[in-house]
Amino acid sequence: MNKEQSISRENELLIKTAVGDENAFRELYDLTNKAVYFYLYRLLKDRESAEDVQIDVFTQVWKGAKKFKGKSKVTTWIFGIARNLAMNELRKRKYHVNIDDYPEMTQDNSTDQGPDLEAMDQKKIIKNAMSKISSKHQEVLDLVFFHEMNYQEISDTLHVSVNTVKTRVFYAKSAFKKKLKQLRVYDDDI
Amino acid sequence: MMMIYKTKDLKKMIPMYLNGRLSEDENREFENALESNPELADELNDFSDINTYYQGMEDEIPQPASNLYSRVISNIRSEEKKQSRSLTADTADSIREFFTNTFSTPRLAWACAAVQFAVIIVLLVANPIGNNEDNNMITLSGPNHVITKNAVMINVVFNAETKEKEIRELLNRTETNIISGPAPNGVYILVVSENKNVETILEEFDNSPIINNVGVVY
Repeated sequence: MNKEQSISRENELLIKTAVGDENAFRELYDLTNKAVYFYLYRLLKDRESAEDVQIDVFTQVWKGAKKFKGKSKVTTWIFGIARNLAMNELRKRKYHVNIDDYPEMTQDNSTDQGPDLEAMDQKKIIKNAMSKISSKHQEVLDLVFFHEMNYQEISDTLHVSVNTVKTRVFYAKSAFKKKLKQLRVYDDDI
Repeated sequence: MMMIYKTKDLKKMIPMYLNGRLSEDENREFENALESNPELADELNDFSDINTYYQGMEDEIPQPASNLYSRVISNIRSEEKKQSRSLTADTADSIREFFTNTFSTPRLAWACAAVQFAVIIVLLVANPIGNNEDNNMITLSGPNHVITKNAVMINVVFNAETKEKEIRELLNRTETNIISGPAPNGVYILVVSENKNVETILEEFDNSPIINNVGVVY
């Protein structure tokens, strides 16, 4: 199934879901759940929360299917729901007020004492650099490179303008490059 | 037709080039530009590092529980139950609220008064006979009679123990009709048929054991 066929199938499934067709809902779930889970996992950083929010997301999809106006792709709409619920979850945790206000995130606290770069190959350095950029930047890069969305779809998901998306992608790249450079210098020093 | 892109625009195309979202034409032009634009090639290189990070990323994310779909369905069922319970509760609350509001305020009393007033007005308009001075004393249970100018009317007071049947028999025999009464003092007004002799009737009434008092109306 190519991308266009897939979009049309998702639309068809959502229309059937709106009238209570559980088989259509199951198929829509099968088509989209992995991407949604990945997106949630990257935002929430733990499996259990991602699963809990995933359940709420698809409950909302079932309940809100009638309200879908077709202004965006079905997957973009589902990602929008996922993002809202993930933000609520983050607010509940009082972890961060808004993802756009995220400070630089450090997933690996061991780097505070100096990471074990000896064993770090190129891919690990890249991974480490990626973990050091803000969640806001990680999110936009996830949407481009993992979810393979175009600028318009990202704009619909994040509710920001296409120009903001483009700018954010380039800022994310610059932040990543900066972190990568720091880690490579550190690696070379060792 | 060949589009000429500025380097700035070509750079913005890099992420879409790497994720395969450029159209065929855009892709071809981007690759043509790449051969002759080292600045673009450098930028592509930076983004390629990021793209590398995402290769195989899916394998690094812990897989969700296999029963996630059934959890979604049971969550939907439980939300639907909750919603239906809340709808029932809402309806009960609305009814309770309606009665509380209705009976705890003078609105109902005012509404009843307004309805009664409206009914009275409607009856007055629909039944104007009550406004007619000539007819306002007509006995409601009696037949309507045309009373001419020369008609003779008699005041009668019946015995308290008299039965309706006896009165009817007397009235039929004398061809008289009640046109009004009883007044508070028990007086009925009877009209005498024009072909009857008033004196004879008065005499019969005088002699009747069921009549206490009789006299012509002047």
